[in-house]
Amino acid sequence: MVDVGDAELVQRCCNGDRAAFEILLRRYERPVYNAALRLLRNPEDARDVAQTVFLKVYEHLSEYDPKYRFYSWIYRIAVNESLHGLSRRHRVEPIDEEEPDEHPGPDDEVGDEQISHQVQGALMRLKPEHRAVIVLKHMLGCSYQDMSEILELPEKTVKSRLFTARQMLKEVLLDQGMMRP
Amino acid sequence: MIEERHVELIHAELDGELTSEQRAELSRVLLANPEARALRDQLARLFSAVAKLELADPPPELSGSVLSALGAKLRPGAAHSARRTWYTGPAFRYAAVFVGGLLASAILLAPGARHSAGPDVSELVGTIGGHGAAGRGSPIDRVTLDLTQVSGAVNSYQLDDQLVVELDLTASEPIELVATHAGQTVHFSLGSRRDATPERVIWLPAGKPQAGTDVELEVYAGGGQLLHRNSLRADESE
Repeated sequence: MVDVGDAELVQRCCNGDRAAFEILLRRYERPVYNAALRLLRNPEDARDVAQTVFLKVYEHLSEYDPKYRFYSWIYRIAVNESLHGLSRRHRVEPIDEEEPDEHPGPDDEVGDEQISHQVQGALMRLKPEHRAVIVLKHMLGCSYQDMSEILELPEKTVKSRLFTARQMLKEVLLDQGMMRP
Repeated sequence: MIEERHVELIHAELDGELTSEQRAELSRVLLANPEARALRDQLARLFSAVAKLELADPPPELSGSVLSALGAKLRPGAAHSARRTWYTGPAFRYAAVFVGGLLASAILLAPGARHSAGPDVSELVGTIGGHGAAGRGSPIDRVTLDLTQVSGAVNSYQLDDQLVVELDLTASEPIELVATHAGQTVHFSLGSRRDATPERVIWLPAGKPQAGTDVELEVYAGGGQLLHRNSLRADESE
């Protein structure tokens, strides 16, 4: 059943097939968790958001409109829950801002792990809506059309937001010396 | 100077979203405009840096805790129709999932919930404590709240080896109550109904009650302002 398409699994799940939901869960736990992780940075928060996402998906499966792709729907819930988690966290504690490395090097002189750390730190300096488009495009591999569905925005707005987000991310990485001008 | 349209084409090329006509157009632009080539090179480096953010493995317990939390639910759709009377809102579900992951459980029982379309709590043995469970336990402690935003009481009980924390509160506006015990934290959003309906929440933290420990309670206003902080004893021996 692992080769069965999302739409059929959703249908089976709505008919009471719990195993079908388990397949959907295993299929999407990785991207959902990673979307939350990159938006929130904190692994525990990401885990909690991912759990909430799957419970919401389960509860609202009967509302899923099959004319949209299932992954667009679940990613939309993941992004919204993550942004909601961010706003909750803002109320009780400041976001941990990444301090620039004191001795950063250009991108070809430092290890992948350090670049990854710096890029994640730079991401956290973006506004959440900008971070979201970077995550959707670069982490989840969404197309402009997917992102338009997920964010419920016109494709033109999505592109504009993505280009702005990249420009801002580039500036942060340049400031940190993590990219050559 | 690079035209906005050409900037868009450069992004689209790197995103793999160019049509053949657009690709031909971009090729002409890149040949003619060194600034466009520089921008493209810089964006390519950005893509390369972002690609270093690899997909992390989800925690191994994630899927298990989701399935565990779903264990007592009805099938999709039926669960949804009951949701509004059965839960307080997203924060409760967030808390319930979290607690479920820790093998603890929480439930909110609005007045009349047993008779709603939701699952009868007697069906939920094993993961969720039923209404009245606290009343059958041995009382440990009680904290009374009498704030403008929320009033009522929070009680702790011991039921066999299980600590039971019962919130019986009426909130006149949205508030968040954060309860912490033995490294476990749950968030309860109350007052979302705006009709000052009494709301009863029962939380069963994981593990046996530990001597000398408390349940720390914090009440926050909707805007995040701390309104009240108190402690509730979690063990009869204290």
